[in-house]
Amino acid sequence: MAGVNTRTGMASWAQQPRVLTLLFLVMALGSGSLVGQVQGADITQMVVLQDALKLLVGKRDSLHSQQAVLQASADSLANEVAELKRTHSGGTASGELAQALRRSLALTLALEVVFHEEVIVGQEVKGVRLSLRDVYGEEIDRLVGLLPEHHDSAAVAQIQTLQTMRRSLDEAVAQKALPTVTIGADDTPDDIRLKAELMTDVALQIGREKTAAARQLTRLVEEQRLRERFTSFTSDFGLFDDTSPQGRSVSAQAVEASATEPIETSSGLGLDVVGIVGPPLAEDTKTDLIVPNRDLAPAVDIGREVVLDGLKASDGSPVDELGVEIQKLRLHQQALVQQEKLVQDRVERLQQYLTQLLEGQAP
Amino acid sequence: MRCIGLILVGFWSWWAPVFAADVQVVGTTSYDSNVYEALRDAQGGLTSRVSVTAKGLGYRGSKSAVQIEQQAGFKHIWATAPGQMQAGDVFVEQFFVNGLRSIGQKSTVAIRSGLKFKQATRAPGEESYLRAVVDGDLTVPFGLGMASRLRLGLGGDDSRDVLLPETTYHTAGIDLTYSRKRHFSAHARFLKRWTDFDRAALDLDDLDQIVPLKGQQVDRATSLTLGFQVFTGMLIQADYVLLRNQSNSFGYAFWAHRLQGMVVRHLGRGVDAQVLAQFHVRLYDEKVPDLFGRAAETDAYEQSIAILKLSRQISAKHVLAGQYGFYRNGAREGDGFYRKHVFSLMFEVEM
Repeated sequence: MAGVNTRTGMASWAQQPRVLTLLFLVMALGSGSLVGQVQGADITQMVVLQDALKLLVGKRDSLHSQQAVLQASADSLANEVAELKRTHSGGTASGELAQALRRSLALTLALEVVFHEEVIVGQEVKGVRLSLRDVYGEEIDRLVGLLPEHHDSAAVAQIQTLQTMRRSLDEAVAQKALPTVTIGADDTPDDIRLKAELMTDVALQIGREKTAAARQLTRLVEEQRLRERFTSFTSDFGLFDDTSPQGRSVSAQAVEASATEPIETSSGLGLDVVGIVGPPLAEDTKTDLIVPNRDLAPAVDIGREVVLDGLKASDGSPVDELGVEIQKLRLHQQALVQQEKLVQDRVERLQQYLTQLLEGQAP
Repeated sequence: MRCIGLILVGFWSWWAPVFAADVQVVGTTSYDSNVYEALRDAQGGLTSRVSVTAKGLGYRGSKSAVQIEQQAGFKHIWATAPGQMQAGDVFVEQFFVNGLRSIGQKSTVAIRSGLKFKQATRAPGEESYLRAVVDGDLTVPFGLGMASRLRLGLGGDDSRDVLLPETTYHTAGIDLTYSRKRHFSAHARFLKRWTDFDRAALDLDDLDQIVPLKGQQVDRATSLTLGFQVFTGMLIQADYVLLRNQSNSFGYAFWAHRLQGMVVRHLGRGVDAQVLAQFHVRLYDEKVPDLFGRAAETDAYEQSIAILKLSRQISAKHVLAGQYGFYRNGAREGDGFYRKHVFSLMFEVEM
């Protein structure tokens, strides 16, 4: 018999399902109190980073002004030195020149110190900006994840504010702004036409981007629907144990009468003389099997035993990443619609102006 | 214990704070060709069932989230079981709390806890039990889309049925996952599970009689799972499990193979198809002779399942579906198994 002959290290306290129930309760309640603290920590982190950034930017600006003042002094001193050198050309350096040169050296050293400090502060600013950017991103993702199906305008406004704040931090990436087209007093009709054509091209480009976003959104929504079908399909089997296997059950059917007093099984379906819950007996053999004498009794009863397979929590993240991506794309789509409208308004205004110009009216 | 279970279920039904939750109600009416899963003299009949699922984020922070899910179901079997005066009912309630917390740059720690209660009344083929599971894992990515996941779990079944052993178990395992993009993921899982049964272990004595031992049955199962999920316009998932179960009780050691495949795809005109196929076989080490000394047909067990479901979105919140399922469960040879065909009509509502 291939077997495990010793009991495993399963602690006896864990052998009662009611202990597990209690454990479950404690963990469920404990996780609630834990996350309450975490939420506080996230908001604090954002405020701390914002304050740190403000301080560092102030310090960097102050250093920058200091550097500008020192630079101006250094430039002025350089002019003074050049003047003194011209005055005393051919002769030995006067005490005035020597003093100016010493001052120039001191200024250069001071400039060096300020520049070095500015570089360090600049790096710190960059680091804090990156951290703050991450925090904004996480907060945006969190808010997007919480957005209801029908957008709450306050929540959307909050997300857009955070997005603007995050963009403003992003020095490295140039902001994608719409080209600004202004009408000059000396613009000819051809210039206006060119500007209108440029804006029409921009509108077309935005339109194409909007179509691509819509196509992508359709794909993502379909993927989300299919994934939901998958989850719903499998959870339905899990709930009613439709796919639980039914393996073999073996039990000693009867032993010496002196072994143990008969006890009633928990199900009340029959007597189990050794306290082993046995499988139900097949209808046609039931009367033959219940025999108290070992000589006459069958040694074994075999039957089916259900194996539970239906309590599986989702293994993945509770955060619906696909849902967040869809919400982000929807927000992007809304922004594109607004941009397109803005550009089309400009095109209309330019065309109106052009018409008025060609008709000889004062615009 | 049953009373405690009912009280807990009632308490959670009232308390469960599924705020801003997605609620789904599914109503199903089926014709089942073997409604009580009888090996012989199958009785066909209608069944109706309703299930309600509420799932939502109890909390969502930038680094952590808690998901709460509650699912309740009721099944009524219209055909009266042999020997019963009234038709059978099954009530099921399950409740999950899943927590996730990011630690460090990309690592995560997750805790999942679940409780399930099932009460079957006058329904042979259905089992009553209370089940609790707590498990946790630590996922550590190590670049190129690869990650390792350490798992620990604990659970127990408080059974109310002779076909269901009462057990307590704990698990430990490690997963290796690959998922560079959402569209493809693959995993290999090595898992060990120790199960303590609330029944005496058995042994084969010198007279070839099966006798109970003083100690209780303890099983140790080792499994290796290989699987993948891919989305290319359709969602495909496949898993293969190789399992070795060792037991100190005679007749319970076995090798098992399980193959499961699922496909979900859009067919057009708003219709989505879902297909599930599962094949599971257990080959027991010890041959247990039957009453007449012949090798028993239960020395090898087989389960085969094939299900096809067609769903159509009839409005933004309503889905109509039809499903056909084939189930075979029991001994691999002989006639110690049952078969059934289930035809279902479903109506799903998103609230």
